[in-house]
This record gives sequence, C-alpha cells and structure tokens, in this order.
Amino acid sequence: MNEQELWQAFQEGDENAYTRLYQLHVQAMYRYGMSLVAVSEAFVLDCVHDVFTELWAKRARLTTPDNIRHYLLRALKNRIMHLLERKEHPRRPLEEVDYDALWAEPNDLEILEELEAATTRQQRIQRLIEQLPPRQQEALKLRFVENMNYNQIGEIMHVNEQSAKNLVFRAVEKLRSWIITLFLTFFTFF
Amino acid sequence: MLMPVEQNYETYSAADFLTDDAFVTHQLDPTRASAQFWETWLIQYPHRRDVYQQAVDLVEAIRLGLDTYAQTYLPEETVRRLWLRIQETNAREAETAVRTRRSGWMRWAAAAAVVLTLGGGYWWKSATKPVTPYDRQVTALSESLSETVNTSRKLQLIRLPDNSEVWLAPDSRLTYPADFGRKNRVVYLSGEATFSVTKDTDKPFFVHANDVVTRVIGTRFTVRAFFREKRVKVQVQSGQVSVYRNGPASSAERPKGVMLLPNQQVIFNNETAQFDKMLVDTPAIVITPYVRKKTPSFVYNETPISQVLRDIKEAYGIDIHYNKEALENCQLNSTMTNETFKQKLTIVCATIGATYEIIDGQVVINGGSCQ
Repeated sequence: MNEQELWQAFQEGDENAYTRLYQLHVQAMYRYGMSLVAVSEAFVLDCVHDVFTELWAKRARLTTPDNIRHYLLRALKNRIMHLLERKEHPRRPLEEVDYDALWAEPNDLEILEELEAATTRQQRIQRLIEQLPPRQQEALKLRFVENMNYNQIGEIMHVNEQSAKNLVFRAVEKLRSWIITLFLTFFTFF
Repeated sequence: MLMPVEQNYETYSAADFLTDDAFVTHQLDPTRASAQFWETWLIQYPHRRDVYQQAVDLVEAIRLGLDTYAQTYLPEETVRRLWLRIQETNAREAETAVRTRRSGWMRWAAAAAVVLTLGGGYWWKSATKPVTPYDRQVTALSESLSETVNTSRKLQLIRLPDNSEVWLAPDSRLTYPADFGRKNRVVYLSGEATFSVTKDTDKPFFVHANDVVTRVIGTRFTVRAFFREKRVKVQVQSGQVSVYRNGPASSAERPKGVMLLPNQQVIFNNETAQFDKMLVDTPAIVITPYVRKKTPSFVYNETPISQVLRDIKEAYGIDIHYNKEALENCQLNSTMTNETFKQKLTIVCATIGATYEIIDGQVVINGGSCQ
C-alpha cells in the first residue's frame, strides 16, 4: 500500500492506516517542530496531538495530498504558529519577518570564536549553520533533511517558490564564504 | 520523479545547483533515471565537472552539519504515550459528538471545552505515568497489533483467532499481533483476564504479563497483573500451565519457573523476584471437557479413607500426601456433597485425629491413626 492509498484508507476510517501514518511521520514532525520552538517539548507534542486529532475529526472532508509529509509538517507549523500568535499567549514571539530583520550577522571574529570549541568537522559545520538566520536554517532543514521541494518549502514558510530558493541560496553562499575566507586562510577546514 | 526540464545547467554555480530540486533530490534520493541523467550531463559538459563536484560536496557538508537535527529522536515510549493520548481525544470527541448531536452549534463549543480541559489533565497524567512492562513489550513489537482495552465495568469477552476465549476484567488491556496463531500464540496482558485456551500441542499459548510469562497448551486459567500491584498472580482452573520470568530465551540461566496444576496459584513478587506457589483460596471441582469422568458424590458409608482422599484428589486435581500404612484401617461415614474442599479435609482430619497443611500447592496430612 503506498502512502496515498494509506491516506485514502484512513479517510474511510481505517484506524490501522491512521496509526501507520502517525508512525511514519511522528519523528519528522517532532524534529521539525522542535527546530521551530526548541524551548518546549511538551508544547510541540501538544501540537502534534492537535494535528492528528483534527485530521481524524475532519478525515471525510480532506483531499489526498501529493506529499503527505509536506502536508503534515505544514499543518504542524500552522498549529504552532497559531498558538504562538494568540494574543494572550505568553510565548508570543516577534513576527517572523521582524525576527529575521533583527538578526545581526556575526562578524568573522565571532565566527572564529564560535569554531574554537568545535573539535570535529561535523561540529564546525553545525556551528556555522547555527549562525545563519533562523529562516535560512529552516529552509536548509526542509530541503536537505526532509527532502521537500522548493514549491513545498514555500508553502510551509508562506513565501513563493523563488523566495524559498533565495533563502537556501543565501545560506549556501554565506556558508561558502565563511569557509573560504576564514578557514582556508587559518587552517584546513575539511 | 522530478526531472530537469531544459535547464541551462552549463551556467550554474555550485550554489545554483543547490537551489535546483532535480539536483538536490538526486543527491538525497537517487533513482536510476536521475543517475542516468546526471552521468550523461557530466559527459556532455566535462568542463563543469568541478562545479558539479563542489555542489555535491556542499550538499554533503550541509547534511553533515544538520545531522544532529536529523537525529533528533523522540523515544518510543513518548511516541506511544502521545498516540494513546491522541486516541483518547478521538474517542472522547466521538462520544461528545454523539451525545450532543441534536444541540446545534452549541456542541462545537462544548466539544472544544471538553478537549481543552480534559486534554490538559490527561497530558499531565500520562506524562507522569510510569512506563509499564506492558507498554515496553507492546511498543517493541514491530508487527501490527490488535489491542482491546476494557474501559467498562463488566468483564469483556474477547474471542481470539484460534477460538480461545479471554474474559478481560475492567481496567485491563490485552494485545496480540495481527498474525496471532499463524506461527505461535502470544498475547500481552496488563490487568486481569481469565483464559480458556483451545488445545493445540504444536503451538503453545503464551501470556506475557509484567515480567512473567505463562505457557500453556490448552487449559483454563486466570492471570492478574496490574502494574500498580507490583505482583503477578496466576491461577489454574483446569489443565496444566508453566509460569516463568521473562528472560532471554537462549540463555542457560533461564530463570526457573513453576508448574501449576488445577486449583493451584502462583504469586510472583516483582520486588523479591520470587515465585510463591500455593492453593487457590477456594479450590473448585475441576471440570475437564476432554475427560468425561463422573464427579464423585462424596457420600460415604464405612468407606476407606484412602478412597475418600482419592476422590478429593481427583475431583480437585490437588495432590494429597498421607501415611497410607497408618491410615490403613480408617473409614468414613459422612456426606460431604455441599462442603468446600477445605471443609472436606477438616471433616476427614477430625474423624481420624489428624491435621493438614498446604505446602507448595499440595496437601499434607499429618498424624492420625485408627485401630
């Protein structure tokens, strides 16, 4: 049974298919949710819960998505953002756009300090990626781990496909420039 | 499959390649078609090989840097608890929907309120609930499962695929794999249930309950294993079962178990890890469906004691040990049709001036003599 058939079985009320969808995607939803709001695991789990209970309640009225993981990650993000943006919610963050605009790009010295403690190549790259603006990091995760295409990334991040590509493009260029200017000069990065 | 369409890859920089879905998807999840496309392209444009290789290295470096993210992992227990919580909400929603079907728009408000308040409470409960051996065992099973939870206040009858019957007590749950009976017969119990197992000598029937396994071929017995009680009790009504601790099947130090006969029970104490074998409180006359044997009337008139004790032993399936020579001349005049097992023993002992005790699930009669 492929995922689309599984989805249709779930829509007809097949609890095994519903369980299987959960098993197939809960880990990806959890890690993606945690990358959006790392502060509270319980909050992310609550949102995963909400997504799946809502799916069950509305199953008869849903259409079959082309990419189920994409659909679930988007639903999860919507749920998370919806709860975070509620006025009375104490965890209300800055608007996403503001957040990125306020992001101060680290200078070369800060990057070097950041890298001093890293001992492996993996840690060095990880720390570099963590210096990128959050939305660029999110786009990298969706493209290179979750294997979403740029159109789907755009839908999840509420931008068009070209803007989604630009986020990754800028991230890649920045990583490359850090690697080239800083590390080929001081020590061998790779 | 995402195939590149008329892209001018010849002019691409390494970063451009990373914004191309066909290229990235090929790096992450290559297919025969995509591999063929890129091999052909590289042969066609050998002077772009360096740029292509840089792009490949960049993808690899980014994935390495994101490895901690990719490995973010929710423990299996949490996955399972979250799933139970989702199912609880769905069940409650369904119930609320049925109850309030006629009350118009109000039902949505009511349903939402119920979910919010109960949902919050349940999460707290489930987050602090210990992970039981049952949760662990069931979560570890990779096959698809069938789980029955008795949330009612009455016994619930479950008929297994092999026609065995299970009476599940309230607040108890039973799980078995979807392919139950094909290779073997294994069920997992949390709580209490009485099993009436269809005989199949080729496929023994196993009940996993906490850390105790009960193995039978065909019989009727009860297992009680509520996690909160910190002990497991197995009682046998007919047939023969063996009970042992769950452990690695191959190991030589396989924990010793006990063999139970009808009207015997064993209590396994989780803390001391000891099996305590004894008679059930009120032994019952064993009715074996396979052996048609007449239940004795227990009406005695100058009947030798050895005959009386043999009747009791066979009716209840409980071994009785006594000194045959000392009691050789003893007789009994009594009707014990309605007496319980223990009352019968008391009458016998009073007649011959003996006492009895129950040791290790068997009766031992001490003393007594008749001239």
